[in-house]
Amino acid sequence: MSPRGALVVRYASLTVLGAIVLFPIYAIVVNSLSTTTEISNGFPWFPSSPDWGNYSKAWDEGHFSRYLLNSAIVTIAITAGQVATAILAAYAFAFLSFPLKRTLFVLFIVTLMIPGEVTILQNVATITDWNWKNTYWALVVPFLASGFGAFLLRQAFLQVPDDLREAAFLDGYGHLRFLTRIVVPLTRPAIAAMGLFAFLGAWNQYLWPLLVTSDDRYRTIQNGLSQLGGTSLQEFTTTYAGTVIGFLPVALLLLLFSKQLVRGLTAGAVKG
Amino acid sequence: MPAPHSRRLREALLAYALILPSFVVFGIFIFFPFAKNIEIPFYETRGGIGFGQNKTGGTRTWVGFDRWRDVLGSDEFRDTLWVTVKFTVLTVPTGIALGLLLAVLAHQRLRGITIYRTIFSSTVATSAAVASVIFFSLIGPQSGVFKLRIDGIPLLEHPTWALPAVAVVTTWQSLGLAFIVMSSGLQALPDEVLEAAEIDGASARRRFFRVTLPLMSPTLFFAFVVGSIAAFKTFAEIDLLTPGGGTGNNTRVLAYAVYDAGFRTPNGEVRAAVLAVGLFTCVLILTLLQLRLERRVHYVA
Amino acid sequence: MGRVALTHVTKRFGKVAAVDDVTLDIADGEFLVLLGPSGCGKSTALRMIAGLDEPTDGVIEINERRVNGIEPKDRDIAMVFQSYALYPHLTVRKNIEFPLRTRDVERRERKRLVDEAATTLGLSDLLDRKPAQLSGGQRQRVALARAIVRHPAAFLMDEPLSNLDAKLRVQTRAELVALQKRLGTTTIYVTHDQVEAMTMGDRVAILRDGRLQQLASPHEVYARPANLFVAGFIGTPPMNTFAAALRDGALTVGDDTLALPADHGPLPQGECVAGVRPEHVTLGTDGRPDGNGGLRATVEFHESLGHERHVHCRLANRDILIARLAASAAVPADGDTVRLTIAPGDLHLFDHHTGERLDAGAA
Repeated sequence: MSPRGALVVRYASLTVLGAIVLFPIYAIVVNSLSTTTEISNGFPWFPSSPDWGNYSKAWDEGHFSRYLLNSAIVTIAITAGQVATAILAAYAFAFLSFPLKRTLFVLFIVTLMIPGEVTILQNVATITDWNWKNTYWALVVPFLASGFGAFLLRQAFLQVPDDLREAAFLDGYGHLRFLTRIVVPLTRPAIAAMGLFAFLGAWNQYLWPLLVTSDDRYRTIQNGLSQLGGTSLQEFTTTYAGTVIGFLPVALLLLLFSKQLVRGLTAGAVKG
Repeated sequence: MPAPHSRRLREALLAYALILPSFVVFGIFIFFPFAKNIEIPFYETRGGIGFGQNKTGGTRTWVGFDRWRDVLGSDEFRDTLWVTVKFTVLTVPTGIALGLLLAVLAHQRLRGITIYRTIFSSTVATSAAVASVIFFSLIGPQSGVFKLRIDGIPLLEHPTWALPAVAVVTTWQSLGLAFIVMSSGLQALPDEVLEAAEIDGASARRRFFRVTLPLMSPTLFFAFVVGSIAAFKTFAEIDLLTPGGGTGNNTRVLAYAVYDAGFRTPNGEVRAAVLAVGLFTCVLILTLLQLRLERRVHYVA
Repeated sequence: MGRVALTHVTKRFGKVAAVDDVTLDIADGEFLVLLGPSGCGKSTALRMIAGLDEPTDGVIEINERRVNGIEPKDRDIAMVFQSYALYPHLTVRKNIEFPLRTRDVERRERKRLVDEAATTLGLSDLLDRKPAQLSGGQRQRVALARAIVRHPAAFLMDEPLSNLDAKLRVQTRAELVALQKRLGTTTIYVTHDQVEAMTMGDRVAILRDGRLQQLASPHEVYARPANLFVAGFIGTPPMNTFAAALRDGALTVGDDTLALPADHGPLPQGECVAGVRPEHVTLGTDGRPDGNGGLRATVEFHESLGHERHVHCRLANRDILIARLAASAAVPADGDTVRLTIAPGDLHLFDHHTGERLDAGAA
């Protein structure tokens, strides 16, 4: 085959696969912009005139503005919390020596191996006992710490050269200044990657919010999507719009930080 | 000597203070519940309300391993486990193979390749719920734009084909991450070894199967184990696409059974606890497998 | 047969020419060294011969056959990488065997060739080990075995010794040369180490910023460098260079005069740059300038290296000359005035604008 021909084949295969991967996303966007009549007439491959009606419906009647807000509040709180606690814990494990250090670190790792299902029963009971059902506390507090984050950041902190630390302490830096002026700036990629993971994990949570929120005012967007029980197509199209609303912020965020994500993944040497 | 002692003490106290926030959270929301979960099935509770809320009356009697045996030996557990295994087998190898294929194709030095890389990793922005709604909009029983029916039955209600359908949704949703992981693995391969293979006369196909693939085994292995663990914990897609666990429970995976027993069935908490431990054991086995076999698979040169 | 020819080969990356209009002709069985500082284009040139990169301009021929655009596997060459590039998941035997399997060589023949290559390189006991279990020197030999097993038309080697420790390097150098002589295969060898180039090559091609500076035997490159760069690159300590003027058949530095070789050919008058190797500078304590030869200089300081001494002298025009003396020689004190004599035949003359060699006389 000629080099020109081979090139065409390469681009063609890439484009076909890209189209297949992208099709579902394209489909939901198209569906969300269509009216119910258009859809019942068959899949509107190329909608002639986008109808934003579904979006305003989802936003107001469908309460998706509220769901979005809740998800945002909860996710940002969890991300901030996890990053903060992970930085503190990683600092201790990377730079300080203290009795039982090994054991405590192993316990951190153990939390990675315990799946949510074995803790969820008691946790729901705990939340109920504390009267935290249908509050932001229930959605945020259980997730304020991250074993994965501590592990990743400890790895990154260990890369900070020893002589840098010694020079800083000789120059009179205390732990706090060493952390904020030297460690954090040096390990920004790892922290960003960890934050991104935390963000995604928190945003995508489904089971837990489902169990601790029954009040629509505190529902997060992932649960908001489960209004599929409706029987009329109208409700469906509203949900489609809601889905795009749920998907877009994350997509934009990832687009902006895609480089960090890949770098953080490889730098953290997540080989298990 | 006073000085070093107090320094070491201060350092230790500081360390404990730094770890404390994480530990408090872990303690309350991970270790304690885990212990409780293991404890509950050993007791028969009467009269008490709910899980761990048996402070309002009720008695507890030790029943040893009876309940454990009941649940783990039950048909329900066996069927659920079987569905979960089927689901894992459907999603994990496919996901890895597709991720690898996309990664290899996107590894070429072509102009505009970054656009394709972005497209291939795009599903990383979708959640399980989002993916489920998307596919529901396409193949859902009433709303589905493409009214896929086999033997006249909508796809998601079909006794045989519902599980594979859900598997497709899950595979698509995790394709972005699979692509990213495989890509990182490919980037890490030593260029010179592949060039040596080129000079040694290996065709592209031979290079891929005899050199690239073996060198990728650590990444593939990691993806396989992590992917399997994730597959075992699948819940959202099942709940959204086949609420209730599908026709004839054909999509009733372990995670769903835990949810169903613990929160939708009265007095099902003990069953849920045992099933949860069953799930945990499977995850544990997979994790240990990875730790054990990881060294065999690394060819540090 | 292993003739390799590059004709006006250029490789551009964007605006930068990594290899700039290089023409080389390598004879069958020759050991040619591509020498130069890092970034000079030597590795790029080697990769183009291998087929891993394609030239932007120019023609590459192997055995009179134009190979531009032909894949590496069809060029009948073998390559040894700096990092050895062994297949980490295969045993030594399978590593060496790899190039034969891809060419569908029959099993018995494969075994014979592999055993032959292993014996040549002393690897017969290691055939069942994996690369991770070998030392650096052993891995290097496996890389060599993999290259020779096919009996290709040419060997391409990219700094194969630089990952070895110094002692092993010296030993392996000699072994490599002996091996090449025995096999008689054309070898193109890239290095930045001039000692390797001088001791191993039949001819040396010196590159700088992608351009070929000189292509000649090691002796020629040492005794008659084609320009200032080569003069300064080859030889340790490097050649002394100082400003001088050509006037009426003699070289003048300030008030001092040096005689030129008799057969120097036509030379431009006026400013030039003169060069002399430190070992060709004779130190005389007599401060008086002689009519014919001798530069007045002041001793700045001297260094004792154990086996020899280097005396740093400052000329009248502020340039520094280093003289190499035997360890036992008498050394004048710092600050003393000395007379430096240079035999006419040891003088090198370069154009002070272009740096090119001026005289056409014999070495």
